[in-house]
Amino acid sequence: MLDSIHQFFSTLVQQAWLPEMFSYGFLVNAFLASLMIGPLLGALGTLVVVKRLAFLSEAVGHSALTGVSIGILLGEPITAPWISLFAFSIVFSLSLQWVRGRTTVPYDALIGVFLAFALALGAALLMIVAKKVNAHLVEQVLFGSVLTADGQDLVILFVMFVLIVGLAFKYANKAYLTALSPEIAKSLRVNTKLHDYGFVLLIALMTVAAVKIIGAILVGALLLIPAASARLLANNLKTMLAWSMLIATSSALAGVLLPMYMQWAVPTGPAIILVACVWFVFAIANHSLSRQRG
Amino acid sequence: MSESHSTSASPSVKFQQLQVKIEQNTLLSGVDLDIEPGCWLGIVGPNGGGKSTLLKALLGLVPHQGQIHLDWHQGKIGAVGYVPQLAPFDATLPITVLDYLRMVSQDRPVWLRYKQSEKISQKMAQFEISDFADKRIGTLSTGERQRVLLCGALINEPDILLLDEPLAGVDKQGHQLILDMLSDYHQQGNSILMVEHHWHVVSKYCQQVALIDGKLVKAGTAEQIFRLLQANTSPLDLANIA
Repeated sequence: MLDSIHQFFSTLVQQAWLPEMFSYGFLVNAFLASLMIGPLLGALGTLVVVKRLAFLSEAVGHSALTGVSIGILLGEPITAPWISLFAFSIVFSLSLQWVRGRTTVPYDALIGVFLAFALALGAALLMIVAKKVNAHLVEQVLFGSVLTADGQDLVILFVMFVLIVGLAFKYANKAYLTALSPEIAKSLRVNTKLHDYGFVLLIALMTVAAVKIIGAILVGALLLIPAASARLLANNLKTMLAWSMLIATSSALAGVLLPMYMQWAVPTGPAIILVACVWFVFAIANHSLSRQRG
Repeated sequence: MSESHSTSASPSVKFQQLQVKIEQNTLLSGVDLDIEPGCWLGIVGPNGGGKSTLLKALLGLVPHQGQIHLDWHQGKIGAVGYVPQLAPFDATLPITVLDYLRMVSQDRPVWLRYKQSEKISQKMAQFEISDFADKRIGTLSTGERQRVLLCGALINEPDILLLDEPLAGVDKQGHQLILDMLSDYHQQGNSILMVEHHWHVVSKYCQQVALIDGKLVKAGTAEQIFRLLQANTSPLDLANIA
């Protein structure tokens, strides 16, 4: 299947419909991954913004760093430590949610504690890992790389894509209502606890699925920046979702393709986030102008 | 004490030795209260007396001890409508009145707008909120927001309605609109449990009144409660309670 897609892109290159760089299989993989990562992170980001949980996406992203380090130490493949990555991020997110339900510590403070723990553990383990493997590979984990997405990654992303789209059609209204007013949601017999657990679980899974392209340090930012920009540009929930998905997808695509095309030695993660930041500046400028016009 | 309606699908509600304790603070204790189907109950009492907590306990929003029984008509669990006290919404979120009503009333994702719901349009017209359907819910005035929340609570045709100061911040014209809607709803045989500070509203509309102050002080008709308050409370305290 993937070979056929690569072949298709090569044909388009031969017919001069696409630039030469699309003849590289790894770039086509990164391109396809971006087409799935963008809409998913954009859509989930709107929930992050409505729930005011920007900090959570950062914390879960940083937990991926720890998951990668644990995986490498346990002997998993350096470029695909999936078991540890998924396991640690899921345990991290669910523990955070579990502790939240059993303490009166404000949620943002709790996330701060978990974030600090994930960072401290990740940094400590990374130092040990750096002695065992090529430091360049660790860099890829931190900042993402266009080179690393393979067929297995695309399958995982595709499964996430189908799962999240299916859940969105079934539960989107309940999820947004739980985010907006948990009390009213509960009065309508929405299982708000299940929605909260489901939300952090999806954030964790999506973060892990996107970490190879964007990197552990910045993956949380692509959950946040497009949705924060969309909030400024939109008039209703539908347009917020559309803007967020558009900004996240265009940022992911531009971040993957531009450095290759321009031959800049910039990792994909920072490139993606810098493009998203340009969108954010545009959104702020547009918002300010709209307010001035009254 | 309360008037039952033959068409009512409302549940009877029974609190037995209800106690709500959060951390070390006891908000309510020893509440025994029976509410018949189709009753409009006014819940009055001083600020911090546990009125809102009683509704929250019924909804399962706060942990409680003791028993709360909802005995549904023919055992069929019906719908509950709820308007919380001064629900704040973020004015910067692009979530409109229409978005909110879609969220509470339909399963079809709010971002799929291929068909305008007749039910939503009708309810918005009844509550005179059609003009601000596309306005952000967080930017509404208190009175407008209360009408939207009440519209959202009634849109699913609930069998029992729980209202936490639904008239707070609403102007006189809005008062009458809301009270007329509630009267219509009650006329259909449905129950209303309403925390309310406006005594003239309680005395005119509520068949049963519960005076709550950390416990159930007394349940009875509005007249009985008012007499009790007059006999035991200074004018200043009376003004605070009701």
